[in-house]
This record gives sequence, C-alpha cells and structure tokens, in this order.
Amino acid sequence: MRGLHFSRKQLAVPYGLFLTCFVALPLLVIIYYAFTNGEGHFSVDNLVGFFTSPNTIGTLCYSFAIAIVTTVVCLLFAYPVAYILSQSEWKQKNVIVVMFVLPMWINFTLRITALKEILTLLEGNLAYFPFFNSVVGMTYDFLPFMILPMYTTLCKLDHSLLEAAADLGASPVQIFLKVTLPLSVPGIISGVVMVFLPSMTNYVVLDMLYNSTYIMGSLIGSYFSAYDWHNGSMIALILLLIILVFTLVTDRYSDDNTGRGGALL
Amino acid sequence: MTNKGNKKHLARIYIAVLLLLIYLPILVLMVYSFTTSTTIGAIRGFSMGNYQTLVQNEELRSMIFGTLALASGSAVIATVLGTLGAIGGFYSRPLAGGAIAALNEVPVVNADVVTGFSVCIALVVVCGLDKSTFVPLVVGHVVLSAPFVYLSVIPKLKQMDSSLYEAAMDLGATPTQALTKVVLPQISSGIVSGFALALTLSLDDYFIASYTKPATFDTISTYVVNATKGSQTEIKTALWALSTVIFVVVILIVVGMNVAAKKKAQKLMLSVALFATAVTAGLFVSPTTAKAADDEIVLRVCNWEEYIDLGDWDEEELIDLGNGAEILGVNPMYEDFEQWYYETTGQRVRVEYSCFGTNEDLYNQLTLGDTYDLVCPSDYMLMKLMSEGMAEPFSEHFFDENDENNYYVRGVSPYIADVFAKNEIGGEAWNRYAACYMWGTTGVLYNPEVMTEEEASTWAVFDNPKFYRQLTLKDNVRDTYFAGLGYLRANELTTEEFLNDPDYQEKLTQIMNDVSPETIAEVERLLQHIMGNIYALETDSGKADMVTGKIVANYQWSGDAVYAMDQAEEDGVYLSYAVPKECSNLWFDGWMMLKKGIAGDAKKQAAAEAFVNFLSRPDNAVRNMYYIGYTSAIAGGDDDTVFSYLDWCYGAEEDEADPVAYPLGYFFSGDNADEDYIVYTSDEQVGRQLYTQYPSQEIIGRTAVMGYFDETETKNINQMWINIRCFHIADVPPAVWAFTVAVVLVLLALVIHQRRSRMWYEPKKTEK
Repeated sequence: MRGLHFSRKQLAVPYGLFLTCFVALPLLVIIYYAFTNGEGHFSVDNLVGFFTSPNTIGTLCYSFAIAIVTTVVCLLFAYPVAYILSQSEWKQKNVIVVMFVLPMWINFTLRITALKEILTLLEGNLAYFPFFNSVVGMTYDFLPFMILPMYTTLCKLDHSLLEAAADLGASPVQIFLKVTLPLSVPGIISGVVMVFLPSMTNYVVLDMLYNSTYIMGSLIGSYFSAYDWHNGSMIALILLLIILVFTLVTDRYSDDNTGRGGALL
Repeated sequence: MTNKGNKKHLARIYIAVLLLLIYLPILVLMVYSFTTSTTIGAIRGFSMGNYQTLVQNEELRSMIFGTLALASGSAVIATVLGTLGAIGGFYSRPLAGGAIAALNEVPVVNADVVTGFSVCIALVVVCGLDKSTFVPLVVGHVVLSAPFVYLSVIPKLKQMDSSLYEAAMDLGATPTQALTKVVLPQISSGIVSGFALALTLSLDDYFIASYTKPATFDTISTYVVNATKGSQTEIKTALWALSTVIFVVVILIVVGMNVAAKKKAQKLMLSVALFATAVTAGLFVSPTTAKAADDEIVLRVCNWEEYIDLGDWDEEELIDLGNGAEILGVNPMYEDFEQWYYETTGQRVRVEYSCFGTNEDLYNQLTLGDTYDLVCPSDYMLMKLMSEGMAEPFSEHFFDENDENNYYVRGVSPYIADVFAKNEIGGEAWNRYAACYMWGTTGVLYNPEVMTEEEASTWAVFDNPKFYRQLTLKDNVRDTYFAGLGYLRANELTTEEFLNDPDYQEKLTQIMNDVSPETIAEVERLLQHIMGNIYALETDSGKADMVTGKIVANYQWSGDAVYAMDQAEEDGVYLSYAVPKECSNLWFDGWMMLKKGIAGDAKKQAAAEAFVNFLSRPDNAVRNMYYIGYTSAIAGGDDDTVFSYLDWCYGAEEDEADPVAYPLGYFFSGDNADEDYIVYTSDEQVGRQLYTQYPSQEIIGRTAVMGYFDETETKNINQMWINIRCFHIADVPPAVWAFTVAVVLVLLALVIHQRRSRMWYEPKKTEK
C-alpha cells in the first residue's frame, strides 16, 4: 500500500516547493516588514498605529461597507442566474455560463473606462454618487466570480430531494427555502469569498470611477509607493488575518466538493 | 402550463437583460472604435484608423502579444503545477497535504496588491533576481492562478472512486499508466476549468504586473493605468479596437463551443494550451537572441510616458520653418539617435527605452531592482537622487562649448542655465548632474465659456461653490499641496507690500516650501474642505473630461494644458490656461545619469551625454515640443530654429490688423527687451497655447520652485495626503450605524436559530 502511494505523493513536491519559495517566503517578508521600523528594529508601533488612528479604522469600515454592499448585490443578481441555468434544460446553458465569464478577457481597466461613460450619461455628474458608482463598478467586475461557484453547486443538486419535498406537500416557496437554499450555501460561500476580498482592495476601479476615498487596497498601495513598506505590510497583514478568520468561520458551512471559483466547463 | 411557460420566458428575459448589461460597456467601446474620437463622449466621424493602428503599431503589437503570451504561458505553468500539487497533496499524509492546502489558500485570500508587492520584494530585493528576465512577472502570475487550478482539481479527486486507481494497479498498470490512463481522464474537467480560470485571471490582472513587470514591458492594463503625462491617444483608442476584436473572438469561441461536442471543445482547449506554450517559449527566447554584439553599447533610458517624439507623423504634418528648416518625425527619436551616434562616432549603440508614470514610481523602480543609465525625473527627484549620491556628474567635455556636437551647452536657454547654476543641493549646483529637458508652470486649465479669467486666476477657484463638483485637482501630494498652500496664504501673497518686497522671490520660495507640521495641519484641513467641492483627483483623465464638458477647470501642468487645448480644438472646444495670481509652481524635468548604471564605463557615459545632446539639437527639440506639447529648455543659441517654430505656430497672419507683441527675450537671449525675440501673435492667442507654453517674464516673476523635502518632511506630507484620502469614522451618518447594528442583530439571530434547528435535525451529532 505504501509503495503504491509513494509515486503519487511525490507529485506534490514541485508545487510544494513552489508554494514555499513564492508564497511562504514573500509572506515572511511581509511579516518581517510589518513588525520592524525604519531602523530594522522590532516594533509594534505599526500595529498599535493601525488600531488607534481614526483614519485607518474609518477606511476599514468604508471598505467593509463597499465590500458588503457589492457582495450582496452580486449575490442578488447572480443567484437567479445560477438557479435558472442549473435548473433549465437548455442545451446551451454551459455556453451561457461561459458568456458571463468571457468579458473578463477584456481587461477590467478598459471595461471600466466604458462603464464610466455610461454612468456619466445616466447620472450627469459622477462625483455626486461615488459610493454607488464604486459598487456598480465592482459588481460589474466581479459578478462572474459569484455566478460560477453557485452554478457548480446548484448543478449538483439532487432532484429527487426536490421531488420528495413536493410529494410530502411542500409548496414551491417552502421547497426553495428549506431544500434548495440550504443546499446551495457552499456555493454561496465560495462566491462571497471570491467577491468580498477583491472589493475591499481593488482600488483601481475606484480611481477610474473618480471615488477619491481610500479603501484598504489603496491605503496599502499608497504606503508602498510612499516608500513606507512597514506600515503597508502591517495593514496588508491585518487585512489578511481578517479575511482568514472570515474564511475559517465560514469554512465549516462549505461543501468540500465545491472548488473555489467553480468549474467553467 | 401557461404559468410555467411565463416563468420560462421570465427566466430567459432575465438572463438576456443581464447579459446585455454586461456587454453594454463593450458595445460602447465597439462603437467608438469605428470613429476618430479621442475620448468617449465626443463623437466624431467614421474611421477604421484604430484598426490600422492595431495592425501596424509596433509598440501596441508587442504589448498585446506580451499580454497574451504572459497569460497563456503562466496559465500552462499554473495548470501543470496546480494539478500535480492537487493529486500529490490529495494522496499525501494529512500533515503534508494540509500544509499545501493552507499555503494554497494564502494567495487566494491575499489582496492582489499585496501578492504583487511581496513577490516583488522577495524575488528582487531578497533574492536579487532581475525583473528584466521576466521571471518575477511569470512567477507572480503563476502565484495568482495556480491556487485556483488546485481548487478546481481537488473536488474532482474527491468525487473520483478511489478504488479505480488501485484496480488499475492490480491489473498490472505502472503508477504512471494508472495516473495518465485512469486518474487524469477522471479529473480532466477540473483541469480544463482550472486552466480557463488561470487564463482569465492573468488577462484581467493589473496589480501583480504593475509590481513585477520589467520596465521595458507593459501589459494592456499597466499601459492603460500608468500612462499619465500626456498619453498617446493613438494607442489608447486603438485599444478600443482591440476590445472589439477580443469580443468577436469570444463570440466565435462561444459559437464554436455550441457546435462542437464537449469532448472536442476540450481538445480545442488542449491545442490552445500547446500553442500558448510555444508562444511563451518564444517570449523567453527572443530577449536572449537579441543580445548585444560585443562592440555595441546598450543605453538604458527611462523617461516619462509619452515624453519624446515617437515619430510616425503624416506627410502633411511637415513643419517648414521661416529659416528654411524642414522637420518631420519619421522614426522614434531614440532610434534616430542610434543612427546619428553611429554616423558621428562610428560606435554602435542600442537604446533600451522605457517609461515611468510618476517620480515616485521611478524612485520605487530604482529601489526595487531596475537599473538605468539615464533618467528624466522632475526637479525635486533630481535633488533627491543627487543628495542620496545616486547621480553621476557630467564629464568636463559635456560643458565644452567648442564642440559643435555639444548641443546642450550651446543651445540651452540662458534663463534655464541660470536656474540650474543657481540652485544647489548639498553645496553642488544642479547643472553638474542634471541637464534640463522640459520645463513649465502649473496652473488652471479652464473653459472660458463657463468661467472668467479672473475666476480661474486664483488657487481659490477649487473652493468656488459656483463650480461645485466640476473641478479636478492632481492625484499627487506635491502638486495638490502646493495648490492648497497657495490658497491658504493667498491674502499674504497678494498684498502690495509683499509683492514689492525686495526679497520677494526668496520669500515666496520660502513660503511655498513651508512643510512645518503646523502648516501641514492647516493645509490638511483646507484640502479636506476642498475635497467636498471638487469632481475628482486625476492624473491623466482631466484633459478628456475638459473636452467632454464634465469639468470646467482642471489643475494642470502647462505642457499637458497645451496638449489638451490642441486636442479640444479638434472637437471645436476652446480652452484657456491661467496662472494663479498668488503664485505658480515652476518645475523642471532633467536628464541625469545614474552611478549604478554607468558604473564607471566611459564609453557608456559618452553615449549617455551624446543622447542628451542629440535631444537638445534645435530641430529635435522642436520635434519633441510638437509631439508632446511641453516646453523644451533649448533656445538654440546661434540657431534660430526654435524661435522660428514659435513664429510658425503662433505668429499672426500677415493681414492681422492688430498683432500683439509677446516678448520672450528673457528665455532666448537673456534680455527681455531684445527685439529679435518678440513673437507677434494674434489677439486670440492671449491666454492660450503660446502663453501656456512660454510664460511671460511677468508670470515667471511669481513662480517658485518646490524643493526637495527631507525624509521626515516627506513622511509628514505623505501622511497628510493619506489622511485626506481616508474615510473618517466620525463621518458615518447615524442612520448607517443604526442600520449596521440592526443587520448584525438579525444575522446573529439567524445563526442562533440555525444552530438550534441543526441540533434538532441532527441529534446524532449532539449525542456524541
């Protein structure tokens, strides 16, 4: 038995090495910078600074607000798509799923440029609705990440369960709430993780839509470009921890059979 | 039945509408790609010009090719690594498998900006890898996408019947056979979707590339975002055409998938992957094959984006000057230099030309592992590089006026020469290390139909409620700090007493360089207030927004203002430029050699100095000015090409009844009363291009150079900038607090409720 498994285990070596060199090492670099000051001495000033400054805490809240609203909006738009496509008997439903993803082949910077003009046409002056515009831009950019995992999960839904519920006298609404929705939770969670994080950090969307308020990503980026790697790293680390806690908490609800990001074909 | 039919229709309509919304921006890009418009919003005539550029423009082609090669190459590597990792990790002992799974999660949950930065630091700063090898870029993209391949494959492994592998082995298959014949087919759909996802992530990336890319290379996204000072419109609009092409390809793929059976589609994917590998191989091979010949000098030059003549002018753009000179830009200027240098010295030189977006970007590039021989930052960054000992002084020969090829010393404006001789840092004059390239003022570009000259001629304009949300400031701390400070001190700066002070110039410079903590705090408060009145902070988009009328005034560098006026005229919009009455920022961009790049190589230093001289040749100075709109530091010396160019551009028509005299002697000969250097221009030019490009001596009188701040001061104003941009917790409206609390309570209640019902549904678990 051992001999049999040996060759398969070895396959993990290249990826393990890759992760060690290019994920673990950079992470250590970030941790090093986060806990040192300009002279290279150990310091927790950056950590204390983050939690005592009303600016950074405010930015954290603002990012949370944008990310939560974006995620909820994505969810509301994406769930029906995933549900309709997974339940339909259309022959081309895979093609339609792909059509939702393929705009991403045109880089988001170009798509947001065009979106900006459409929003201007509708609103007159973009500066009046910075929050709204940011949410629209992010939703537009990240919607595919929400659709994919939910679609994968819903496709695997066992139809006999639905039929059983119907036979037992459940109304369509009851079936949806008591059977379909709970069973799609794993997909929802992977989708939420996929959308929530980039909407806290993708500041180029905000820049291009003229929202000059910082979110976490812009805060980190601006510290990096102002040669203050220590503060930037600390904020990056704090953000990483927040997201990590979030994923750990939700992990027990997720179904192991759903890949984050979902299947495309 | 009808109910069901209705529902079906509703579903179809929903999907169709959503798809339409998603493709709408792309459709907008498509429509504009067939016009001559330079900005979206201003429609011009039909044209296929963008498609022509797309096919012909070398720079654009290599950018597109590079982006595609990077995406496909990194996706292939990520797919191989991620798949192997998933299979290996899945069958490993829990500890090893768990470690892989945990590390795999890091890039997934890390912000892209952090991934990009940390990979860059780890590879370039810690391991000393060179960015120009493309290794950091490819590694960065694999780090971005491999974890998603892993996550797509793992579920398929879990679904697979684990006894299949053992059965194959029992039937006599080798482990390799069992793997390729049994396991791989079972998980192939996961691999294919992982590959597709990897490809998509790489194509859509900006952050990773911006930190790890070699300086001479741009992906589509880094080009779109980083192009700041005077971006080249031709390429920008050609990218719309590119979007259209991608869109058509996408549609073809979708149709193709519809036709082909699923298996075939997978084969198609495989062949795409193979093609991609070949392309990537080409990417790695081509830089090595282009290695320098032994006798060739490679000169690494880094300049602002779009800050040099890149040639390719139309025939009718020929500039035929009054002094007989005829000027036409055919090739990029740095290629002409290679030719010229070979002809004059017999030495072959190859210019490796690259661009930066901001002074800070350049400095970051220098600290994050890029090496250049010759760079062109602004005044304060020149000072910073000098004071940190990074600059290489010019040789004595560079200052020898008797050498006819020393165009810089022979032709530099006496006014500029004076500034560069008088200003010092660490006891040494600027001119020992830096040669001025372009210079100008900062001011307000405004639309005279909506705003009067008086309203525009003050820093207070950005606080003017009449133009609520129709003004833009610069998205960089130094420029905007200057504007804020000018506004803060407006009263003091405009008193008769101050204006007539014998030490006016010195005092003005002192006031405008005040970065004491108290002043910073005052400016911070003021700017915070102003932020509520402006439309946006921008670096590049302001020019286009002026043309489309979204904004009516734009804080602008003089050269970009000229460029914007020229562009706007083509759309029938006439813009003006005003220098605030309080003061303006006088800035200079200059060429500087770097110690680390030149590294004591006399041949290389000679080539770098010759490059500066070649740019300073009067006809080349004119080419650059015509192309980018900025003002060259070259007056020409005995050569009157530059002045003839001004006359050619702005001189009054011969039948002009009442030409206005505009003396520029201070710049060309050092004496403003010099009658040889008066431009007679039309009335309409007042406040427009000529006035913007060459400020009058009176305007120069109220300008101040903003110097270099030491580390603490820089940190302080950077922190001020971050404070202004951050969201303040106190600004949250009470209603939002109430709503948040309510949502949290509801969520808590839901979780508790769910736990209870779980206990009820799954009694076994609780019994345990």
